[in-house]
Formats: sequence, structure tokens, C-alpha cells
Amino acid sequence: MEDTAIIDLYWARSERALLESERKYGAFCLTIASNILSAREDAEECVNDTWLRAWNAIPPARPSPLRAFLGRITRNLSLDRYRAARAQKRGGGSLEVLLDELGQCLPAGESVEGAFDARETAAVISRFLEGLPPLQRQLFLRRYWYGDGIDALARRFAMREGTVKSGLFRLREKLRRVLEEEGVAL
Amino acid sequence: MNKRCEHLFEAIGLVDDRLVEEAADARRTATPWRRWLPLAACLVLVVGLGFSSLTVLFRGCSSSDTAASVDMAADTADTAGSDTTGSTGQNSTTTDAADGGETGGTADAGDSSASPGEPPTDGAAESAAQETEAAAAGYVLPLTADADGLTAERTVALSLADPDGVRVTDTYRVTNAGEARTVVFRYPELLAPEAPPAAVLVDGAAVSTSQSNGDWAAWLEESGEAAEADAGTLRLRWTEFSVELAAGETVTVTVERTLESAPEALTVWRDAGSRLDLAAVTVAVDGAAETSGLESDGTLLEAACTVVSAGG
Repeated sequence: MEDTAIIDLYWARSERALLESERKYGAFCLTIASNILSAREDAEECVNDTWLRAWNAIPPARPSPLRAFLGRITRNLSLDRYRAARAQKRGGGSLEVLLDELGQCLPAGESVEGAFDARETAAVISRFLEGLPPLQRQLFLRRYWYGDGIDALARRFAMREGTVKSGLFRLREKLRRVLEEEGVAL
Repeated sequence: MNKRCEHLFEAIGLVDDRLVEEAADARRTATPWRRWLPLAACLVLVVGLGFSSLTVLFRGCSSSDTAASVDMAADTADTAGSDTTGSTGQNSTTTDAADGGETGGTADAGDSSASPGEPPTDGAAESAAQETEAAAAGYVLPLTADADGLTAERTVALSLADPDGVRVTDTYRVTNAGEARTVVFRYPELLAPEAPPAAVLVDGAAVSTSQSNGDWAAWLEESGEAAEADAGTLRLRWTEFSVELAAGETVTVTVERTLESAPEALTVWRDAGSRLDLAAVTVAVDGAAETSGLESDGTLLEAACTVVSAGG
């Protein structure tokens, strides 16, 4: 079913919207959640919650593209789940590793409480990504947006794992420089 | 710090939808060159030559009783972590000829042992890239042609004692099994951009060649980082030349080059991607050689072949 038809179902408050969303994007969202969370059941719960969150957001939203919209919800829910798990000292799974890598991108200096603006930072990162060659951009996003593992990236981009790692390392260094230049507070 | 990392992760989640969509289906197939490299893994013979050992070896050649053995082992090419061990006398060195990039780098999502909490140092990643390049620097790739119906016997002579660097003389005794024609040959090299072109001789006479760059190190090429990279960055360069061949004629094609910065290991790719029907391949190290014919089905010649040094 076309995305527009699924969104129309949401707007019509038809519960079929949830079924169609799951049918079309269930696997997509589950991959994202599984990449972030180690427990399968946690990932599945995040995906189920995704449809509910979408149900509450549409209307008034009319997202386009729907896939990125749903994927972002799943990602955010997975991050929340990670935080909850960490608070209970259950361990956060794969996200720990991703966050650890992202630590390399942090600009020097201490954070200022309340100074972080996610949208502003996202805009800087978007500009940074747009300035990259497509392959680098896609590699970065597959790793840090979709949470793909190194082995999966190597297969997807027909690279050696060592090349993926060194490529990501360079990208993180570049991003750190950009964040510092832009004076982004994190 | 963890909170700051989460902020960053959160911010990345808000990047432009267009970019997220672009990455959703992003996929890259191997370039022709890279596509046949893994395939060639089954046909590859690695001459693992621990450079430090060789230094010792050839310094030792001046004394009459120094012997060395060099193991030729299977290279799994794209399979990370394939080690080739070369042993020289009492010394033994191990080099990762297949994928030097595995050293250092960052933690894999599924690899909890990969130093979480300890981001790699600049040195680690640079070291990984340098190892990859260093391994590639030692590749001796096979001549190829634009036509079928050519048989050849190949002899790779490696001169490690040359003061100017490792001298590679790659010789093909090519027989034209077809009708009279002009055959275009192409010889691939992985080398630093400023490296001089290989010299080509046909029946002992120099022929004119032209060079063009290929797409080795696709990551560097596509990312535009090739321009940023230092002189150590390797590129695939094709040296092209043509030869008039009469029906049934046999000529000897010799490609000569010198690796000025000696690699840690030399990897002789037997017939990967070559359209020449290679009946035999001989690898000689400073005059001493073990000759082995290719298996008829093209499978890897498994047996380690021992090459004894000139001193042995």
C-alpha cells in the first residue's frame, strides 16, 4: 500500500492504518530497534509502541516520507528504553557501543546545563552530512542513525571491516571539528 | 559524558529526512576490480615475506650458510584476520596480508570486547589504514588482455637484494592460439601516485605504454579523501600497451617495476581476473624458486611451497 493511503487511514482513524504500517515497515523498524537494544522483546515492544505513537501523531501530522518518520519514532523509543534499562542497571546493549564511539565527536569543554538544543545541533549535523560524498554520508547514517553493526556495513557497502572502521573514525573526527567550529553545546 | 553522547545521538536522529531516506536503501556493489578480488581468493598464492626477516636473510646471504624458508599460504583475501606466516631461520614473523584494517579501529556493535569506553586513538585508526595500504603495496597482480585465446606461462621474479627497492620482474610467455590480431594488454599495479610507470618489454624491446588510474581504495576515491591523503595512498594504475600477434606466434612480455618502499609482505596474485590462460606460474625469489602448475580446476594450490634463499 502506498504511504499516502496509509496516512489517509490514520487520518480516517481506521485501525487498519496500524496493520498496514506494521506490514510495510514492521521489519524496517524492528531492525532499527534491534540494532539499538540487545533484548529482542524490548525491540519488539518499541516497534509496537511505534504504531501507537504514530496513531497519536497522525493527524495532525502528514509525514513524508512515512518510513523515516516511523523509523525516527522507533529510534527515539529505543533510546528511551535504553535509558530506562540503564537506570535499572540492566545494561543498554548495542547502544552503549554507539554512544561510546560518538564520544569521539564531542567538542572539547564541559557541557552547559540546558544549553543543548537538539534541533539546532541536528541542523549543523545535516549540513555536515550534506557536504560529504554520498558514500560517507550513508555510512555515517547507517551506523549512527540506523545503528548498523560494522559487519553489516561492510556487507552493505562492499568494504572490508577495517575500511569501515577507519572511515567512521575519520568521519567522527570531521564531525567533532565541525561541532567545535560551530560552537555546538552538547 | 554519556549524557552528552546521548544528546548527540538524539540530535543525529533529527537530521533531515531526505538524508535518512537516502541512507535507508543505500547499498554499494563491489566495483569490477573489487568484485573479482574475493573471487580470486581461491586462486591466490601468498608469498609471505616478513620484511624484517628478509632483511636479515639477505644480509645473511653474504655468509654462505644462511638459509630461509618462505611459506606460501592461502590468502582468504576479504576474510578478515587471515594470517600469513613467513618463517626465516629461527625468526618468525606474522603479517596480516589479507586485511590490515582489522587492527585498531572502533568497537563493533556486536563486539563487546572491542574496547568500549576507549575510543581508538588517532594512531590506531591511522595504523589500520596504513596496514591496509602496506599490504596492498605488496600486491603483484597479473597481466590481462582484451581477448581470449591466449595462453601464457608466467614467471614472477622478486629481487629483494636490490639496493633501490624490491624489484619485480613479471614475465609472460604468451602464445596466440587464435588468428593474427592486435592484442591490448593491461597490467594493474597498486602503488603510490607518484611511482614511476612500469617498464614493458616485448621480446626484449621496450614498447610504449599509457597509464590510467583505476578505482582501488574505492573508499578513498569516492570519499574524495584521496586528494587529502598523503603520498602513501595507493591507487590502482593500469599500464596499457598493444602487441601485434601472428597466428600461433609466441612472444615474451616482461613488465618490470621497483617497489621503492619495500612492503612487509609480497602477495603474488596468480591469475586473478586475467584473461590469459595461464598454464604455469613460477615465483622466484632472488633466483631460487619453486615451480607449481595451477590446478586444472583453478582451485587454490594449497601446498605451502618452500622457497629456499640463494644462500641456501
